Amino acid sequence: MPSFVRFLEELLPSAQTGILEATESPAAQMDTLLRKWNAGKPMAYRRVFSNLRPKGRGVWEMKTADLRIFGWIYRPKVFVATFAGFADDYKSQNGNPPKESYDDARERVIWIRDRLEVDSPAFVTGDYDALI
Amino acid sequence: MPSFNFDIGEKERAGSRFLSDVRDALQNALATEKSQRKITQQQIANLLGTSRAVINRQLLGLENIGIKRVAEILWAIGWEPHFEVRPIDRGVNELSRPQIDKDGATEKLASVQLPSEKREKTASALTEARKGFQQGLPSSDQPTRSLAQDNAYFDRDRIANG
Repeated sequence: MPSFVRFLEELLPSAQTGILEATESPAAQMDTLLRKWNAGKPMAYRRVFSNLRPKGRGVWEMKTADLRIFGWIYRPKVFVATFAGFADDYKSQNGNPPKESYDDARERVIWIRDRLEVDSPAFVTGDYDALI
Repeated sequence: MPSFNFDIGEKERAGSRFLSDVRDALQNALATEKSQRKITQQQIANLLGTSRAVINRQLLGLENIGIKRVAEILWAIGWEPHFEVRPIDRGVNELSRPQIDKDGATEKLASVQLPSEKREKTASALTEARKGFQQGLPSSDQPTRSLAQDNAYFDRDRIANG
């Protein structure tokens, strides 16, 4: 989706690793993640790929140490990357609440999904290994 | 419409992908062992004389992991590394090996041009794909605004529509 592409082009190239101090840059993390997905390699449930609650809404996130990519599973093995953000923005830090919320992320994905005229069903659910 | 361009560079890509492959192999080996017998990161850490936190961070890519440590972790779970290298196919990498003819002269690297040709074709295909996809997009998600504008539009619309 355009929002995701803008993230790749505008924010990601200069992004630095966050509080986890990963050894790889966020851009390298993204490259590795997309390569794994495109190659059909296993994506560890929860650690790399996780569904947001309530699960019935069909919103998922791809994760790296520093990145969060939100979207939905249009068809098995077809992930629509709707937008992305930095993991630190979704975490409480120093007693301060997160800048971004998972609830907003979920609703934003649904908001965009609902406005796309895609063939029904707009998203699929089911067994993790079959979907991912 | 700008074309989609995301490229971290071949040097960075070569390093990070190899690291990722090594970590994936380690994690897969560990998962296999865990499924067959009870083994924990703490036990591995004890065998290696380090802390569980260090092992965890190394496996997750949050701390550098050296070749020696890779072999040590595998040893701790009863595995061993298998490592091989090979030349990159000509035309695939900008630094692929030049072909040397019988006289020792280096063949001009026509292959150097290939990656950029491939990239142009890929960019063109992605642009076309995006055009098709965006025809189905509502005007609210057309890629004409900045990220901040996009976020503001989303918030405004959500409030207006409950």
